[in-house]
Amino acid sequence: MLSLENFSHHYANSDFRLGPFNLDVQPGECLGVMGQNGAGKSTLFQILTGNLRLSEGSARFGDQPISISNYALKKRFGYLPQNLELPKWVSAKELFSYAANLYELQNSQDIIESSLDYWDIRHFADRPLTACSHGMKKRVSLGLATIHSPDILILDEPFSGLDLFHIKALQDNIQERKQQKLITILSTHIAPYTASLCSRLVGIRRGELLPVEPWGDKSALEKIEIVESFFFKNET
Amino acid sequence: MLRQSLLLVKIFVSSFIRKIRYDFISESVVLVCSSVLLFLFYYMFQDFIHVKMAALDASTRENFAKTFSYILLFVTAYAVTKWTRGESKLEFSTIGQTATRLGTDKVTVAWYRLIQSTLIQICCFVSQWVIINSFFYPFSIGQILGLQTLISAFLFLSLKWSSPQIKKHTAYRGSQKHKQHSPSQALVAWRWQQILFRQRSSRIALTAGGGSAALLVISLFLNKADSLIILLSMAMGFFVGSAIIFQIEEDMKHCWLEKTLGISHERYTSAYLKVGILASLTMSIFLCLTIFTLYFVLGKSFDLVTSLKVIPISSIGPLAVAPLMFQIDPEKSLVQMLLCFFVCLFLGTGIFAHWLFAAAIPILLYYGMKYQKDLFYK
Repeated sequence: MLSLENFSHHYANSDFRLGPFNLDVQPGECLGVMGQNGAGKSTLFQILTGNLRLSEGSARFGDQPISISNYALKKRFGYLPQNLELPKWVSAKELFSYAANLYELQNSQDIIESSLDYWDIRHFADRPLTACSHGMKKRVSLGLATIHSPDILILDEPFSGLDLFHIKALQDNIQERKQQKLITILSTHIAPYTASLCSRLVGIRRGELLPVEPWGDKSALEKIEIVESFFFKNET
Repeated sequence: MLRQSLLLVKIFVSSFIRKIRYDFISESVVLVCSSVLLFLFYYMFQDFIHVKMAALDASTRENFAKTFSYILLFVTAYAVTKWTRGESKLEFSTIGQTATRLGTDKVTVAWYRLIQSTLIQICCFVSQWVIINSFFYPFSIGQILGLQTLISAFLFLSLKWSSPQIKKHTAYRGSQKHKQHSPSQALVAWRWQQILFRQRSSRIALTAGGGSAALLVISLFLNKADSLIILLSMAMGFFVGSAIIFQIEEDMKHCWLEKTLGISHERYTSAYLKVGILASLTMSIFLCLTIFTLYFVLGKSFDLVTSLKVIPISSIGPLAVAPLMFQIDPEKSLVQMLLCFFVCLFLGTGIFAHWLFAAAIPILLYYGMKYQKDLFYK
């Protein structure tokens, strides 16, 4: 279980403060995180992936604290950032090989091949990433985030740049993760995807965690209405 | 049309000023640190340099001064060319491309680029020429204009056409096979591959290092002055160190990758230290073989003991990069190069004066690595 207690972060030269709030995410959940641009979603993800130091409170995964220096735990996380800064003059295959070595994966050759096939990267696997389109880079980044079958997968705007075929692949991947009792945290502005994939939704507004009406067994349309009403009610 | 071009130039200037204002504190820190290094070096070595320079004949002193001037001009021209060529990239982040995509005609954008690049060159080179004419060599106006045009044109052409960078449509064939490595090995192997085969700036720096090595061998062969040989070994080390610095700059753009993959600060900096050690060993072996071949096989009569000093001196550059990489700002390659330059000059001059100064290299490594602990995650 992912557990955040009195979770709070503030930047040194800014008035912005994320939190404090408490949040638990159970195994098998896909948690949707919604909020306006600049609300604090990416800051939350940066702290969860150990790229930023938490100012106050605690974040734990199971019995292990999430921190910058817990390198072994970081390898159990997968992260797709919103801004895709990837090395320019390497190919997808080389990047996967590099990641596989850094993750210390066993049978890494098979895992790399499988990842290239799943995300449909094979036909441009040898091309320098700088020559790839945004959608191609997005698929490469998704491959990097999932190559090690992480216990927690954090996806920040994963659908932008993907065509329908690859959106389906991503949706299937998230559904499979739910069945395997793995945690997924998804941030997207596309309400239908939030409605179809997320078990639960939380909202962030100016650093504050806001409650959202629980889904229950509502239909997809009702869920979309909940998402939209939350967003427009809290952002106006 | 010209009015529109000037408007674009105005946007460029105001965005540049805004950028400096936004990063004011970090830019000021960089400026202050660089100035402190400059003045510290000048203060500590002015007497030594003046004594050594006074011992040389006038024409050699003049050649030294001109060489320093050319190096400074080359570095400035490279930075300026890189900056102005950045505007020609097909990215929305450049003003020229944004204007083009918004429907501005090509002639207006071309005028904008011309005015913009001229403005950048005037701002950068005027200050360079003032420094050169004040401290190195008093070039005449005609010489200045001629050199300026020549260096900028040469650099632009060499960057455009003789770049070893792989074309975008080419697929990488050479190093495609997955090899199982430990994380430490993977970090080092990755960087080696980028520096040697992919990263254009690094390859240009390595080429310059190779050029310095060739000149060094020729100088030994022709039994040139010890000062020249030592200077060329410093240059060799500096250029190889710069190759690593360019790779660091590139890596910092996507360091989230290594951070997310659970790489610690120690592991990351150790990888760069190993790259530096490998580079130093390669250069040392090369120089050792060269010196012994020239001295014992070909019977050249240079001072063997002084010549062997080129081995530790050339090693300083690549070794100094890792302990210094996070001290100021790893994203600014020019600042890193300036720091590396002063360390090479400081320690190199010390070793030239006395062998015992070579003990400063492991001290630099130890304290440098120690006093940048965990800065990778800041």
